Amino acid sequence: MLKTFFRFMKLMGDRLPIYLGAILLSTIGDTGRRIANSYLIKNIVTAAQTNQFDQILFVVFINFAVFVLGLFLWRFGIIRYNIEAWIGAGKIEKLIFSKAMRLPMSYYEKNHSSDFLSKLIFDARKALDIYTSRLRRLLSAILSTVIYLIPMLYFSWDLTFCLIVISLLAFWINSLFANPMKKFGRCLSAQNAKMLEKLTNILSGIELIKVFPVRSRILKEYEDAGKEYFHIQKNGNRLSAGLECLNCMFDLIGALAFLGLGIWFVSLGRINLGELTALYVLYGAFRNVFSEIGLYFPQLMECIANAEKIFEFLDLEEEPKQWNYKESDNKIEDENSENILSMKNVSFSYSNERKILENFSMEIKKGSFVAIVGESGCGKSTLAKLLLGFYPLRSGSILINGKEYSKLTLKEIREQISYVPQEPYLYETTIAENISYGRYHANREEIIAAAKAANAHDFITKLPNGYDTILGERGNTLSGGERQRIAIARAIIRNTSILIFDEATSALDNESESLIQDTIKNLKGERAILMIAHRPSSILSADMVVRLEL
Amino acid sequence: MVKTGLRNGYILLLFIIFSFILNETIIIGNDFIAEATDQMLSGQQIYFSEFIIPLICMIILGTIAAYLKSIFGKQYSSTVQKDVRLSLGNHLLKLPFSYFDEKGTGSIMTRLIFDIEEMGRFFSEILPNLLVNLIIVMTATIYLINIDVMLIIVLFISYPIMLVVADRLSKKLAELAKKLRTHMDKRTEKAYDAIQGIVIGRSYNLYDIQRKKIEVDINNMVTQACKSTRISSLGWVLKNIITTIPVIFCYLFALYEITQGKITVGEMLAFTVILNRILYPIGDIVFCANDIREVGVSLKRIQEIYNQKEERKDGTIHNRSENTKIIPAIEWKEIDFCYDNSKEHPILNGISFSIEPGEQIAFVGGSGEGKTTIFKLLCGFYEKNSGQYTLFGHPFESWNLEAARGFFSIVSQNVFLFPETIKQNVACGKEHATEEEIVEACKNANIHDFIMSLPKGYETLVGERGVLLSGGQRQRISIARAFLKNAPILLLDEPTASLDIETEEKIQEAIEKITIGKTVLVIAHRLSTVRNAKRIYVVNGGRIVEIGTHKELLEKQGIYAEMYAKG
Repeated sequence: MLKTFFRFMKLMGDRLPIYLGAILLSTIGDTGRRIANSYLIKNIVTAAQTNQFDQILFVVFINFAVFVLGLFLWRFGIIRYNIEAWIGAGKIEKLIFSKAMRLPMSYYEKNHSSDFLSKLIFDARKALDIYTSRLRRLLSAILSTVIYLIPMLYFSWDLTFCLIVISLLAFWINSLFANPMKKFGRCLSAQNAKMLEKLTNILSGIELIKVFPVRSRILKEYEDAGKEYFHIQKNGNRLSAGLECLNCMFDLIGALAFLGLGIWFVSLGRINLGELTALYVLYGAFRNVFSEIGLYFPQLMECIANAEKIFEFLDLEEEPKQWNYKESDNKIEDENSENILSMKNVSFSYSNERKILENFSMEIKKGSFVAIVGESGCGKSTLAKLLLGFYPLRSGSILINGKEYSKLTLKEIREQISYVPQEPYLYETTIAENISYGRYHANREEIIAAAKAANAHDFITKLPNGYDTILGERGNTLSGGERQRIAIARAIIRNTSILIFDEATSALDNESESLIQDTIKNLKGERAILMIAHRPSSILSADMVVRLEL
Repeated sequence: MVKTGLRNGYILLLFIIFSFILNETIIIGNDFIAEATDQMLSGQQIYFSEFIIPLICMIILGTIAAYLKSIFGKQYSSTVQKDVRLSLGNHLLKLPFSYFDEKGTGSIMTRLIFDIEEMGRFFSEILPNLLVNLIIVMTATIYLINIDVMLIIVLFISYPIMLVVADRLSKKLAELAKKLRTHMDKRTEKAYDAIQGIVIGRSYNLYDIQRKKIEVDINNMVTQACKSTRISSLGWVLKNIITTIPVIFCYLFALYEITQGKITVGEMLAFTVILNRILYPIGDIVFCANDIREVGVSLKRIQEIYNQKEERKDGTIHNRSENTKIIPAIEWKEIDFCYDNSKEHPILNGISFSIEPGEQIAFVGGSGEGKTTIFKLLCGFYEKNSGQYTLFGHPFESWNLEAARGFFSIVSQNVFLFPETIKQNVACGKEHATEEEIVEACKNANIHDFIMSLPKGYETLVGERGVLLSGGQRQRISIARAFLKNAPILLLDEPTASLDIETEEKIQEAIEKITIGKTVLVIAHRLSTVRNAKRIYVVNGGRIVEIGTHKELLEKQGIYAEMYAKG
């Protein structure tokens, strides 16, 4: 727990001292002016009792000066620390995003995207509370307790001592709640991810839900998740209400003990009434911060649970920079420089149960057009993904332009391959930008040229905003064929030595398809083109046909 | 949303009652001190034992009240949150399709997670705080009035100015809060977009580009938050000024009154104690406006979803009439449609066609000519701009939407699967489908054998959007779903486009089975699949340009013949 907390604080890096300094400053400012206030009261009450008023105005003036100074310090500190807190929060969000983009492919297959989004929207937000309020309140509470103690001890050390005992008892009780609160935080966070998944079902499955009779089930699942969330919240409410009432009890006991003892001490003549009142005012503030400790300590625990969730995510293993294969395979070098791509004895399976590829070898020369055919589910798309380095091989090796995969970083490998998947994904941005994702700094002419090559230029210019049309989610404002053509333009503009088309022209009419096929064939030149296909038209014109079997 | 707040108002009421009790307990306790002090000052002997029993009673009462107050306050918030969450989910399902085109998933998600959480904060922290503070200030004020009216006047003298300032600040803060949320929406959208497109992102090395883009939004969020800190800190400073300066005057004034003999020292002491109790509440009440306005932005964003008009529910016809044999199943006359209501870019332009029950027709044409839009209009996802759409003899408008959609099954090229088991996904086709029915449907869709070859069979999880299955497998599950629904009208949107030959055969076989006795509409841009259609409609530029059988159209030597020659 402490480890998580310290790690969370360390995320702030160099700015941590500024942040802590700002908290310290604001606390000093705040407590300072309150202590001054209590002195004022002491003097006023004493004056009222003794009828000596000559010092009063001077005291008021001093008090006012301290008040202004304290306020100034406090504001300065509070602005600074809030800014630092938000910068820290932004940093965490960036880290979560970076992580989410760099996990191994298997993560995305096994986990729902709501898992990551929940971390970003929910956990990061809750953990941010550590920076913005929970920690500050706790720290300044502890700090001001210590600061308040000094004048309190000065007014009456024995009375203050009794109060400290009661307060420490209260603090101990509070700390007992830490673990249950943390557990509660974890449950809530996990349930939030589940709820978000059910919500995504509604949002992305809306078309299906409207036509098929699943509405009640999908809604019920979402409602159940929402109710479970409520249920967890309810348990948490009980916990924190219990804690709050215990604190209130200690508060009352403290107040009453204070009164009882105070009256007794005054009657014994150990302190005078003015001091007692001042002490009471201080004690009021002291108790206030103490009940804040009671209130914010468990909340801090809850937030730490969220921070833990974030760290679990940040600690997930990333996709490595390159796959490390055994040393023995390293010596293979391709003699034949004509070969742009060669696979040697490649075996691969997702799990141990079923081998997708076994001792698969092929060689692809420059300028060749290769069709890959086979039954659905036999591993055609997997082959493409292996070439892209999405998964490590079980055995065997792949060479690209004469270089072994194990000697190249995944980034270098991917720089040489353009992939157009079956259901090409388009981003929620302009068409021009979607195409430029193939080559980020491409200018408009290059983009248009690529779109023309992909037979997409005509329909794009027909759109009201042309190339600047912003696409809807998943490009859903376009038809399947239009999406495919943009995806192909994106691949073409990249100008890589290998192009892989995975049923990339399936949603096109014959005319567009044959136009694109021609373009693709013209691209051959120094490149190699792999086309996962089933149409006779594509297969017939191939230089080589690779048939995969189950 | 307001309704939900009110419906659960009784919890809030309980909360207020217990807050009141708690507060009274504390005030009565203070009466003891004042009394005791006065006695002490007048030289009487104080017996602590006199206080013990009432004090212990107070502690017990206070503790119980504190627990109940706290639990009711929190419970109120959780209940409202839950109710809003559930009713929003329900509402979302009733919204028209176009809403989901306009509002991105990211924005809706931020609203349902973040804004509801913020709303919860309003109900769990801000509103109870405001109420408690009001109670404290009111009860304490009444108590103080009994001591001296003038003191109260001095205390509240600066209030009006503060109210004006607080109002100004809170407006500014609300503006910033709105901007912050806009950036937040963008951030969520980009994150969602990036994770959904991870395959492309990874194979095109887009990581750095995407990271930079999202960092802009995150930085904007941080900037907005920092700006609002500066402004709200001004509020805090003012709050401290109004809670401190008048108090100093109060003390001086009280001192003056003591010298005049108007109040006793004991009363002044009680006054000091009470004053200290209400100082913070007084300031908080004024600057609550900041929090309320800020949360108000969240509430508005939630309200926006509620305000979206639901899909129509006015249709009264639920069933087909008996003599369905004679009436066309679907009849369209001169239907126009465009997505954005601007007449500039019509998608459909005077489309007319009709289909008898049991017939099979096809729409062909290049991609992007509006064929899929025809299907969306048929299912009532969008409303036509003009023209007439008759379904089983009744205008579509008089149909109950849900009932009308019950007649359709869609098998399209983009298959959506829920991240659940295969069984659950197939079972979507029919409510309360039995195991046998599901297996039967899968057998008909030629997918049963594949499912059985999986280690977990029908209980296999398919992953988000079905990523763990291949395109052909997903397609067949969607056909099984349609088998199970057994709707009279079947809409096939290029169901075999992306399949290899063997799979295509399997699916073709499954489709032949499913189309028996059904009214079938097929979309195709590949003409080999539509040869058997009773009529083929050639769609071009949102119009129907040719109609006829395969043979007739070939003889016509028009667009169709041209397309066929190229294929």
